[in-house]
Formats: sequence, C-alpha cells, structure tokens
Amino acid sequence: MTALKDLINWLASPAIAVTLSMIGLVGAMFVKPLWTKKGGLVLFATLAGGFAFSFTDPNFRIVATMPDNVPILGMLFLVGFFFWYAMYQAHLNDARLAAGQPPLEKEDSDKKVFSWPDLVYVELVSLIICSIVLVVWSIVLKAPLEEPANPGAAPNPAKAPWYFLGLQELLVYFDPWMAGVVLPTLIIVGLMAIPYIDTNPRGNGYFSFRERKWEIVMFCFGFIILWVVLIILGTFLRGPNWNFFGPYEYWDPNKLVPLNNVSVSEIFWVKWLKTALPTFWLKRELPGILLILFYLGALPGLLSKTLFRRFYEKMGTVRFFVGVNLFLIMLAVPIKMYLRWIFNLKYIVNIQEFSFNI
Amino acid sequence: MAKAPPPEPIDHHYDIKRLTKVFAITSILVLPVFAWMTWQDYGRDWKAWQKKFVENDRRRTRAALRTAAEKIDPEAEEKYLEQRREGARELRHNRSAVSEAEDEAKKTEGAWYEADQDFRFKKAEMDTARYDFETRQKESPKSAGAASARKDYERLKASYEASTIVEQAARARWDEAKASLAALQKTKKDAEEALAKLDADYDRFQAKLGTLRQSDAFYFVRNAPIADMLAPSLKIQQVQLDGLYNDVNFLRSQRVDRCVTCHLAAETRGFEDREKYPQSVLRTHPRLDLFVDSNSPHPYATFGCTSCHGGRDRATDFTRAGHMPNDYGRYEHLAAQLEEGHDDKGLPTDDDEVKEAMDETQTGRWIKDYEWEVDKYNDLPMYPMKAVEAGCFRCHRSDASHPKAAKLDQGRKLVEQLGCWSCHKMKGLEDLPRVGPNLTRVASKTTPEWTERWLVNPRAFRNNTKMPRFFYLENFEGESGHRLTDTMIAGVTAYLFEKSGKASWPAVGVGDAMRGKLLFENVGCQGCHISEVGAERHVMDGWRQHGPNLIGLSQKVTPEWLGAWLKNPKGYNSETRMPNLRLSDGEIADLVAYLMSRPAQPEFARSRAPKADEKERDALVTDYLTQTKSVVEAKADVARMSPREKDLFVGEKIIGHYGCYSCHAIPGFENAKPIGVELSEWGNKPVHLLDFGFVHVPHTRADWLAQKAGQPRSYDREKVKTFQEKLRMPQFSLSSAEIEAVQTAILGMQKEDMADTLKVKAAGARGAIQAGRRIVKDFNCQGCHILEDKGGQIREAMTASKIDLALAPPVIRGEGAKVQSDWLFAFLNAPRSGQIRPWLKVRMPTFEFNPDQLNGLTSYFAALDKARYPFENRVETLDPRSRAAGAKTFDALKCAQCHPTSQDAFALALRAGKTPADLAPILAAAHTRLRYEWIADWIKRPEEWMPGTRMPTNFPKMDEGPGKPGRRISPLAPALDAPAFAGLKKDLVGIWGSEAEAKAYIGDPDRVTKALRDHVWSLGNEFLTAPQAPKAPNKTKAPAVVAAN
Repeated sequence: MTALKDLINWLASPAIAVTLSMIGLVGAMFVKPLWTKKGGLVLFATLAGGFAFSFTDPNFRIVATMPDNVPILGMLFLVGFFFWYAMYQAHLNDARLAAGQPPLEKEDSDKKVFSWPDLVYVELVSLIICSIVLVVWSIVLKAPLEEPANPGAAPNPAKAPWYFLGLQELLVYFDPWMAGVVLPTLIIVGLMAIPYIDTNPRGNGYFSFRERKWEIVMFCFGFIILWVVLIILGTFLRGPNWNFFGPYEYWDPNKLVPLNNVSVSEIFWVKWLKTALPTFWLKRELPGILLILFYLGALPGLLSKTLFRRFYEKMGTVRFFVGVNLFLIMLAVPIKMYLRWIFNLKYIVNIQEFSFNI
Repeated sequence: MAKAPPPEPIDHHYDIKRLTKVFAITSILVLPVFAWMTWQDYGRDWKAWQKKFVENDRRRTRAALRTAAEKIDPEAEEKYLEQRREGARELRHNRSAVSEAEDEAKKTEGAWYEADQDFRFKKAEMDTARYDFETRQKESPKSAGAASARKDYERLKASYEASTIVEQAARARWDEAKASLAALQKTKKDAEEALAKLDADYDRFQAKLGTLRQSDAFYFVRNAPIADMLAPSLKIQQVQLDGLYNDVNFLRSQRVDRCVTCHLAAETRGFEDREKYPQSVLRTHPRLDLFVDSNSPHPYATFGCTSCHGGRDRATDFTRAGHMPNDYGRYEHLAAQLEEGHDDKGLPTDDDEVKEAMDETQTGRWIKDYEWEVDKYNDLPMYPMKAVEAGCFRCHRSDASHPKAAKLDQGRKLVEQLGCWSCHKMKGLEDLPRVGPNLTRVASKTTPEWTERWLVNPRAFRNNTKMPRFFYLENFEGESGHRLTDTMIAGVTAYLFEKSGKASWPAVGVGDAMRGKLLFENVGCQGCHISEVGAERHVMDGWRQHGPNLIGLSQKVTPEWLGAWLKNPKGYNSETRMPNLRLSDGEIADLVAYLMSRPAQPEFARSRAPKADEKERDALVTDYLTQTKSVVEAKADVARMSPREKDLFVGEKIIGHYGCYSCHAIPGFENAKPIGVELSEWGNKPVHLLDFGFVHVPHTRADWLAQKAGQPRSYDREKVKTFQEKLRMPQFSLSSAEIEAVQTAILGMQKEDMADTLKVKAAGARGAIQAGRRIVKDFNCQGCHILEDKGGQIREAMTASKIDLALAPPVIRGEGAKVQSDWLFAFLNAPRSGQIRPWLKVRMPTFEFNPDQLNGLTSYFAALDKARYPFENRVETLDPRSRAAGAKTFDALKCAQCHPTSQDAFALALRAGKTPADLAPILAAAHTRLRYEWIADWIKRPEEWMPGTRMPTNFPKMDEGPGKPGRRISPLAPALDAPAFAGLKKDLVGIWGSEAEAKAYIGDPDRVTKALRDHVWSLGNEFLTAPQAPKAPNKTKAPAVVAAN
C-alpha cells in the first residue's frame, strides 16, 4: 500500500503529471471505445474509484475536504463529464457522417417549440435546484471570517482563488509580468481571434471530431492541460512554501527543496565558453535574446515553408502568422516548464538591470 | 410581415407532466431547506443562555417577592384598604359634584392643550423670522429686505408674547380644576399612596417578574424570526469601550465587548452559588470587589471583559470568542496516546481509559458541551483560567508586585529572581540588580576545581540553587557531546580565573561553632538564608532563599574570604545586596567556624572534574576562527596557539555564547548585549513564528512556553544542528507550579494598546508605593519583617530554633503614620541596635542604601498610610494640665511596667529579672521617632493598628449593634471612685480643679489618650520647657492622621 502511494506521489510530481496527462489526453481522444456510454462509465468508475481509494488516506482527506477545495472536486467531475459528453456526441456524429447521414443536431434544429413551458419552466426548476444546492452548501461548509489581513503574517501557502491557481502555477516558471499580464492577455486575445483564424465551416452547430481533429486537440491542450490540470496541481499538490506535495504526503511547512536554477547566459558563458559573465548586459544576454528572436521571428517563417506548409497555403499569410505566433506562445509555456524540470533553467533572458526576465 | 406560426399542435420538447412533477418535488424540498437556513441564522447559542439566565432570575425574583409579601404589615395594609373603601364611599356620595369637577378638568385641559400648541407654533415662527432678520441684517443692513424682515420678526414676536399669556392663563384654569377634583378625592388618593409605599418592594418584584415572563404569546411573537427586529427580549448585549482597541494591523478599532450577551449574570449579585449555578456562564463574577461592579476599580462599563481576559470582543459564539481550556495540552497528549496506543515510555495504554481521561479534561467537556475547537484564525484567544492573571499585567506592568494576583506575582518573582530578564530584555526590569554574584574577583574566593564541578551541575552542590544548568543537557548528548561540554567548562573556568582580580584576606581568629550557630539563628541571617542539605527551591512563596543556601562552604571558599565577606560584603563585591550586620571580629570568627562546619551535598565532592579534550578544543577554536578567517588561516592559528591560549579563547567565546555576563559581572564583558530574544511583547508574538521543532505540543503560545520553560533544549530534538545553531537556554528545573506561574507572567507581556487615560498611573502615592515595593523586593525586607501583611518568614526559622517570637523582627504596619519621616530616613540610612527594643538579638542590618532608595522607602511608608510626607511641624508646646494629667494616668495604668522610660530604666528592669516577653519599646526617644498624633491614636486603639499586639486595649469599643462603628469608652471612669485609684482621683482633681472636671476627663477616651501622649512626648524631650502655669487648653490643631482603616 505504501509503495503504491509512493508511486502515485511520484507520478503526481509536476513534470511527470503534466507529461502523462498530455499524452493521456491526446492519446485518449483517438481511442474510440472510451467515448461510448460504456467507456464513460469506465472513466467515471476509474475517477470515482481513485477518489474513494485516496479518501482512505488521512493526508489526502485533510486537503480534499478543505471547504475552499470542494469546488475543485466538483469541477473535476463536471469537466470530465462534459468532455466525455462532447466526445461521445462527436463520435456519434462522425459515424453518421461517415454513413452519409446528417448530424444529430440537424433533427433538433428543424423543430420549433414555445419558450413557455419548454424553456422557462426548465429554467425555473433549475433555479430552485441551484438555490437548494447553494443554501445547503453554505450551511454545511461555513466560510469563516478570518483575522484582518496582516502583511507580517501571510498564510502559508498563500493561494489565489481556485480559478486563478493555474496562473499562480505559471509564476513558478515565469516572472509576474509574463505569468500575470502577458500570458492572460494573450489567452483572451487568442480566444477572441479564434473565429478569424479558424475559418473552417465544418463542425458548425454540431459535434464532430474527425472533421476538426487539429483544432479540438489544440483547444483541449490549452484548456485541459494548461488551465484545468494546473488548477488541480495548484489546489491539491502545492502546499506550504508552494512546495510540491504528493496527494498522500503530509503538508509539512518545514519541507525543504533545493532551488538551484541557472540562466541561459550562465550556461553559455560559464559552462560552454569557460569564462566569466560579460559585464555589459546586452552582450551577456545576447544568446537568450537571439533564441527568443529566433523562436518568435524566424520560426514561423521556417514553419510556413516546412512543417506547416499545408496550413500556410490554406490560411494565407496574415492569418497563418497570427495563428502560428499564438500557437508558439502557447507552446512556450510547456517548453519553459520542461526546460526548468530538465535543465533547472531559470531565465532565457535575464536582464536584472531592468528587471526584465523571460 | 410576421412569420407564419408553426403548424398546430406544437410538440413539446420535454414531457411537461414529468417536468411538473420535478417542479413539485423541488418546490417541496425548498421549504425545509429555507426553514433550515432560517434556523441556522436564528438559533444562536447565546439565546439559550439568556433564556436560562432569565429563568434563574425569575426563580430568584419569585423568592424575593415571597419575602417582600411576608414583610408587609397586614394591619397597616388593612387600615389603608379600609381608608380607600371609605374614600370610594365618599366619592359615591358626592357623585354629582365629582362628575362636575371631572368635566371641568377635562374641558380646561383641552383648552390648555390648544393654547399650548398655538404657543409652540408661534415660537417656531418667531425663531424662523429672527434667523431671517439676523442673516439679512448681516448681509446688507440698510436694504429694504432687512427692514421688512425686522418688521416681520417684531410682529411675530408680539404675537408669540400674546400666546404666552394665553397659555399661562389656560394652565392656571386647568390647575385650579385639578385641585378642586383632588380635594374631593383626597381620602382615596391618600390611601392609595400609602398602599403603594407599603407595597413598594412587592410591586417592584412583581413588575420585574412581568418582564421576565418567557411563556406568553407576546414573548414568542417579539422573539420570533424576522419579527425580532422590532423589540426582542433576547438580544445581543454590548458595551463600547472608549480608549481600548483591537489592533487590526495599520489601524485600531474600538473594542466592543459582547461577552455579557451570554454572561448576563456576571454583573448581577445573587448568582454566586456554585452548587445552584454550576455553569460559570450563569454565575456572578467571583470578584465583584475588584472587577465588573461599577464601584470596583475595574468597572465593566470602562474595561469590559476582553481587556483583561483577552479573546475576541465582538464574538457571540463559544469558540469564536476565543475561550481557552486549561488543559488543551494534556488533551492533545492523550489524543496522541490514543492514536499511537502507547504512552511516552512506550508502554501500551488502554483505549477506553485514555478516552475516559480525555472526556474528563476541561477540553473534553468543552468539546462535548460546546463543540469547542481551536480557532486558528484568532491570534489572541483568551488566557486559560490557570493563567488568567496574565491579563492584569497588560496594564499593571510598571507595578513592582501584584498582591491581588498571586500567581502573576509568583511568576514575576521567578522571572526576576531566576534572572530571565538578564538574557531576555523585558521592559521595566532593565535596572534590577544582577542576580548572579560578581565574578571579577572570583579567584580570591574559590578554586577552579570547585567552579568546574559547579558548572557541570550546580544542583549537585546546592539542590535549591537559582543558577540554571547550562551543560550536559539533551542537545549535547553522547560521547562527543560530553567531550565538547567538558572542553567548554574547562575553557570558561580558565578564562574566569585568568581574568579575575586577585586579593588576599586577613586571617580569621579561632571561633566557636556552637556560638556561631546561636548567632546564625539569632542575628537575622535566616531572613535571607537557609542552611539545609537537599532543600527544595522556594522562590514563589518564600523569602528565605533570597540569598544562597549556606551549605558546603568549606568546599567552596576559604575561612579568610568568608570572614572578610561577613565583615564587609561590599568590600568584595560592590554590587552585592548582602547587608552589613555590624558583626564584631569575635562574632565573625564564631560565625565562620559555624558556617564552615555546615555539611555539603555528598555527591558533589565525589563528582568528576571535567577535562578539556584536545581534539574538541581544536575543533571549537577552528569553528570560531572561521567566522572571520578562512579555514586554512584558522588551522594555522590553531597550530600556533598554546593549550592555555586555546582554553582562554574557548572560555571567552563560550561565556559570550551562553551570555554568562548577563547575570554575573565578568571582566571583558562590560558592554556585551544580552543574548536572548526580547520578551517585552511576547504575549503578542504570532504563533507561526515559534519554532516547535519536532516536539508534539499544541500550537499555542502557552503550550510552547510551558515546553520551553520546562525543557528548554527540547526543540532541538531529532534535529541535526551545528554547535552555533543549538539552543542555548539553560535548564532551570522548574516545577509544574513554577512553569504555570512563569507562563502567567510572560503571556501577560503584551502591547499596551489603550488610551493614556486608562493606563496605570506610576506617579503620586501610587508611584511611591510601587517604587517602595521594588526596593522591598530587591532587598528582601519581608524575609524578616511582616510588611503589608506578608513575609516575616524568619519567624519559621526562629520557631524551629525554639526562640521566643517576641524576639522576632518587628511587624511593620502603619509605619508611615507612626514614625516621623526624618527619623525613618536616618534609621534606614544607619540603623543602630539597642535604641528601641534593646533586648532583640536580631539586628536591623546596614544596607548602605543610596539616597534615592532612602527617599523611596520613606515616601513608600508614608504613602501606604496616606500620611504627610516628608515634613511635619514639631510640637513644642504642650498643655501643661494635659501633660500633668497624662503623667498621673501613666503611673496609675502602670505603663512603665512594660515600657522603660529611659535606657537607665531598661537596665533596671533587666536587673529586676524582666524578660523580653515582658518588655515593650523604650519611650525615651518617642518624640524624635513617633508622630505626635499617632501616639494618642495608638493608645486609643492599638488592636486596630496592629492586630495581635501585646499592647492592652484600654479603651474598648461598645457594641452598638451590627453596622455601627462602635464608640470607645473609658473603663477608668467608673473605676475612679474605687479605693485603689484614690490617689489618682486626688491628683486629677488637683489638676483639673473639681471632681466633675476630673471625671469628665477620665471618662473621655480622647482626652485621656491625648494626655498620655503628651506625657510620653515629654519623656527625654529637651525641646520642651518646664511645665508652665495652667492656662487655656492649647488648641494647636494638629492635622489628624488618617487612620489605616
């Protein structure tokens, strides 16, 4: 039992957990039997069983039953359910389309009903049910008034509201101006830009996987891995001092983890060239700056000629470059994370003189 | 064109019938959920407590009502009832006149009401016009607007004045009508008034019972949910505390205490009975004389509850208010046993027994009864009741002692005497005398061998020593730990003896130990010292361990040093508080012989003397050197140093490391800063800043502190630390009672967060008393004297040595009112033996007080008795007749039998075989020592000045019934006619002129005592001229001394 728990604790460490969930998610999307009712039941049973098993562990129980964390438990199952449901519908439609039939949604959209009672009545019932759930929830899990905030005594761990925990996790890998300003802005801008970049008319108004594989995989990667998984990580696996704790590990505030990080400039000058760091910042950080310029400036062009040539031809110059830049920035997040995990890389560009670090 | 409607019949997307069912079910479900929500909001615990209190109050009021009913005199009641009936008959008889008068009263009242209303309206209009006129006048005095405003104002003023007259006339008519009606009703009204007076108590309780009803419909409606916003009887009770604050980081908010919402009984007398009211929440505060009551020094309206008890002021929930049980640590300890199945020693425990023990703790009961839990969001919970006196210290921090808070006082005593303040700065204690002896000349006192063994374990030499143990503690265990410890001890000793000044002491003559023993028992040594092998330490409740336990001195010091020390303690150590007993060389020789013969604790002489370990020493020296040098340089230095140099180096570093210089004066450390954390505001220290290490104690301040005080190095357990990182606090071997007292003292050290007006005043009489108490404490006056009703423990030692307690040092009571301040000053400055009670063997020692201390003590005694300070007018003229009568009375009462009137008379008395038990102070110098008014007051009521005094009460109090002070009478008046007093009678008649005058004199205790006083005042008084011819009694109005009671 201990060995199993140790294994799970190890598997849950950020590098492995993110890698596994990435492979698992993308892989699973192509495993058709999962997206049937039976497959859904198996998924649900696995998830619920995993929780039931974990609840036997006292350390897990402490964290999972914190009133603050209960919504995340709910979110786990809700996101799981809706993801399965969408994939289930998509696979049904894919089968129909393959057989030359219209998608399921077509039948519905031909029908007309009155807003009363078909819409308003359902809304009323939903309202009542939501009221009941919220009232019971607020009675059972009380929200305590804490002492007035004291900057001399910050809570440990100091956590953002649950929906921002993904962004807080990014603070481990990026400076605040990146993790807190640039990346969230690009998420919003990117989401707004999707309709203008993705002009593929197929899949409009109905679920389908086969017709939009690339788009769905991309979106799920961004949403499930870079948002939901990071929230779960931040909620359940980040303890005092923002240290990582396995799900069955005790949150010991005295746990120590070495944080020995290096920057690109140190690798380049000290390790490769065996010399002291140049004093002038521009010279010192040139390798990192060139890397960034290459990644954002030259790589899209290269991709348009090679790997993404098909996209380039289909989308046209402007649409392609905007899209591929957004894509590269999204990809930069896991890239930076892996660089940290594998090479202890702290900054690619580290201009302390202006507090400008990437 | 509107779109064509879809073809009928329109299909439904959902099964509407099923939807209706779902709707019905959820709607029904929502009802209990909302009821639950309302109940959650409405059903507060405090309401239950209020109901219980009201129920108790109702029962008590009903009992009071019954008593009140019994007290009503039935005859008087019947009389007034009859009178009322009579009045009613009269009214019936004059029916028509009465109804006419009633009509008239109604009519005139109506007329007045109308006139009054008109009057008030007119006044308002006039006021408005006046304001209008004033502002216009101010803006442009000459304008037309101003003129017309003036006209308006004057018109309205005239009309207002007219209405005044109308109103007054209407009122006069109404009063007239009321008077004529009252005249008709007089008999009945009088009877009703008398009845109300007779039944006043009964009616009051009856009315109160009405407000305490908890079962009628009105009660339920006014306290029902939602309706209770109007005028509920169950409501939150609160008091706003001006000048007391909550610290909410960056700003302060006023305290608003809501404690009495549940603790309704706290301020009401009559709920004290623990049997009747087992829950403290329903009981009266146990100390209304000190707290809560509006006449107490800490009234509820000013201080509330949380300013002393701590806790969250606004909370009305048991846990959230911050209640803290006494035994939370023990409960958690048991809980750990339950989980692990064994106790600390690894022995298996019985789960049921442990569970039962847990339920029996206060914590367990609270969890069961009140769902108590630790409120982790509350930084400052209440003090547990065992440390409740910590709250006193939040304000009374400048006080030298806390006589009304025993545990706090004991804790402070421990903190001061064990020297906690020496390493840990504590505001207010910076200027105390050092607790440890001065080591600047230690080499001339003792030997290095003794010092080394002493450092290993001071308690092996003296079981009750206040010196804590620094070495061989748990974080230096094991072979290498002990080698390192030995090296440190050897270094410290080497350093102390190397730097010590050298001195040699003259030889002491051969003394007799038996005589020395008698001296030791009689001269007063035992006020501060004991001499007992294996004695336990008593600091909290003892004065006799002020100085060291005098055992084993032959192992420690030389007779020469001891002799020189006894002769002049300040000669060896200028800082010492040991006073000079003015011993002769012979006495010193005897005392030295006795003290050197006292036994030692047996193990000490046999204990191993530590030896420095070369390897450990080199490592230690290197460790210190690398703080400033590189490893290579440090190693080179070590290779160069001689063993002696290394020892001295280690010694200096270790003395600095452990802060020895905080308690002892050590050469080379004159300006070193103490090593401990400042504790002045430790009571506010956030719990998360405390290092609990791997020790399982509850995470509260109190529990951390208890563990630290009891086992100071335990937070190093299981930790891997370098030498420099290891905890340094020494082991004081505190008992659990001592730990609790220290806890109380230290938890009370908090921020002083209140308005200046509420702070304890340290000036005036209060300041003088506190400053005096500080000196009394530092010099251990209470070791010998009973002072402020405390101390005098030397009496225990005297009893043990079978010495008559009449020979004990005097009880000090009313000293300020009793003696002249300048006499006291001179006496304390240079006490001389044999002036007042020459038969005493115990000596008031010479403390060599500085002028500040002398002034402090004299003003302290004066302030204690509210006596004049420092100057007095000298009484130099006495009424000759009073003085003569006094002399005669003095003889007749045979006062001189006990009180010698001069040193010669005392010598005679001794020759006549009188023992100290027969003697009272010599009166020869009374006029230079005592206060003039006091002498008379003392003669009149000695038993009140000094309960248990041997001075007879010559003027007993008459018993005038309970509550009356009791007048004093003179039993001499009836006795004057007895044959035995014939001589006195003749003398008095001679002095006062007639028998009636003589009797008037002797029957008046005031005059007799004043005459006696005048006589005593004249004894040996060279200021007084010879008795003058009788003249009118001298009415020098000597300001009365305020009596102690």
